[in-house]
Amino acid sequence: MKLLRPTENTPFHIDYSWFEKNGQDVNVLIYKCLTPEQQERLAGLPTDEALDFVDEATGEVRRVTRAMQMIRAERANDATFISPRLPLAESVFRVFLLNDNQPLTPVELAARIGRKPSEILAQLGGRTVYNGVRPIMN
Amino acid sequence: MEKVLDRVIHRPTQTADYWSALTITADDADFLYGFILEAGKPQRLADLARALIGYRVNQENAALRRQWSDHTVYQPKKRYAVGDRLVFPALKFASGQVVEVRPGNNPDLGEFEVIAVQFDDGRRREFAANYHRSHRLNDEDATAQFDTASLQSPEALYEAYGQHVVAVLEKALESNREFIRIGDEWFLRALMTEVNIGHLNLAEAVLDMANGGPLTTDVILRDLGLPPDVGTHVQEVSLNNALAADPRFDEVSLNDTPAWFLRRLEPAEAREMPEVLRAERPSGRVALSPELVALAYELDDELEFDETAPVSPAQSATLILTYPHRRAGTLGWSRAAASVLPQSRKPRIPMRFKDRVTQKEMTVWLVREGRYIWGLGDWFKANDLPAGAYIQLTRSDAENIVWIDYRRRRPKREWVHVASARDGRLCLETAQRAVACEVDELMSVFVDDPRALDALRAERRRDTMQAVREAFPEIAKLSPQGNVHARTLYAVVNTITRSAPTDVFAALTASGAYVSVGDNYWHLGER
Repeated sequence: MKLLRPTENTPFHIDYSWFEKNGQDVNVLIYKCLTPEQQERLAGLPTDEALDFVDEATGEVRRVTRAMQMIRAERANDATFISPRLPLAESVFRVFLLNDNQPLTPVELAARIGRKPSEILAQLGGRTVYNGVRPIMN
Repeated sequence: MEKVLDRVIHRPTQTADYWSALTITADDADFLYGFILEAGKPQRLADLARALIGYRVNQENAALRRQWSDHTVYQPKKRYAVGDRLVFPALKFASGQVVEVRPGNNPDLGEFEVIAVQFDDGRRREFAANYHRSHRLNDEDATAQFDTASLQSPEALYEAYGQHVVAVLEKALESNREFIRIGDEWFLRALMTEVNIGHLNLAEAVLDMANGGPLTTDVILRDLGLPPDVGTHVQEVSLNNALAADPRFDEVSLNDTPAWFLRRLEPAEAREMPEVLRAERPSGRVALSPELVALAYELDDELEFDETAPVSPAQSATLILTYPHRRAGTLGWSRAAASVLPQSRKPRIPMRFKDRVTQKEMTVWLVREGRYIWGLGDWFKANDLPAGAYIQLTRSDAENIVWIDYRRRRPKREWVHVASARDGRLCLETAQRAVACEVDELMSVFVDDPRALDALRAERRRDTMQAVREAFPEIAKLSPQGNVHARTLYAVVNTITRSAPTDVFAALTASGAYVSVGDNYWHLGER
């Protein structure tokens, strides 16, 4: 049987079930994306509790953790949140945090993080899974 | 950030697709009926099209309001219950139904509720409710989204799509018995008052007393005695319609106010095309050289007038008088003439030409069928104008008067082409004649005995090919090289048969007996 391999046009996303299966907590990873000041603001508060946050434009409610809401509300327009200085897998993880985990191909990711699609595919398309980012193979 | 487009309601009337697929419905017809009824007078098609566009836009607005009349515009501050139908301006006016209400969970935001909404497209999303913190949807006027201020106005829509709407509307009105066309306008058949044969006979008598006319409808009405309880305007409209349907009368006005003429008192030459102007166009097509095509265009014969091509208005125009028109006392209503004359699609209209030098006025008739201007015979004769003379037409300040003149010069005797009939054939020779005007040297043809040429034409009708065969050697013999200019051939052929330039040039080209020697000169071939 032939194994399917992802290409530069295969969509990727954060597979949250991967964290559970591997005994890891995604909230720890998300917490690391906060600035020291944001981490301080969250001190003493539960990191995994999902709360209702109201979208300022539409009134839509999303149930997310405080850390996730902080990232989306305060870091979306911060140029340093995703920068070429970050490891590639970290940048991709942060892109998916901001876009509500909407699937993106390496070609699309390349435009957002300033790396080559081939480079992204080489790192994320292999056997090793970084930060739970995995291809969606139909 | 929210996109501006997300907050725009899709309105089909703002799109080209909507208007290009337009069909006139019974509802539209009802509206137009009411529109004309309210106006109480006939309406131009363009005005009906404008009104219809406005009506369609209003209908769309009303439909949008109806569509959302059972919906509440979503605002976070309001409370909602399961079953409420909501519309979301911030989500392209998507609509859905509240299917669940639960308490909100965020200590930072205080107490509020979360409603789950099942959208009409199947999606399910959650929204804040009973939420009293500052939020842009709480602060703005929810109904402002229905505002039409940012949309294209019906007038702008007419500018963009009116031409097509007019065409569709015209077809629909033509097939609807409730509407009636009166000239360029439309009215309601039901509003017309009866004009019987007695009224029409009276109208004929009134025009007869006025030497045929023209008389405007209101003047004719004075003697007709239509029911006084009918409004004057409706009386006029009804009479106009009845007169237009009666072959005894012609509408001859140059403007929007109808004026009538008794057809039998119109000059015979305006009612029926003079024989000398009648042309039989061959059906086949022959490919002409670009030079000949250009020359045919330059000659601007009214036989080749293209009614579909727009004519740019001009202050003055120069025409070359050809023999058939010289003989018939007419001018061709060609492209050049049309640029100076009033635009009209009526069968016949009288107007005034005024001699630039003598200031003498003459009545001429513009005749659409055959495109000629009749009434210039005496003026040609009085000024001794031969075929080939340059005639100038110039607009005046008055709409119904055009200045006419020719290129005058001191008379002197010159060697010219003279056409005559000899032994049942055309004969062309050079002779000295007094010339008192400037002429196109290649096209001037003098005829001493026009009746003889009339008889020559009547004896044997020639088609263009036969006329070319007869005229070519007659012209060729007058030049030492035997060359014939295509322009001269066109002018001479027209002394014995009425032919359009392209027909003459097609015969010249197709015959095979003639060879081009350049510059539109032709020579008899070796055969």
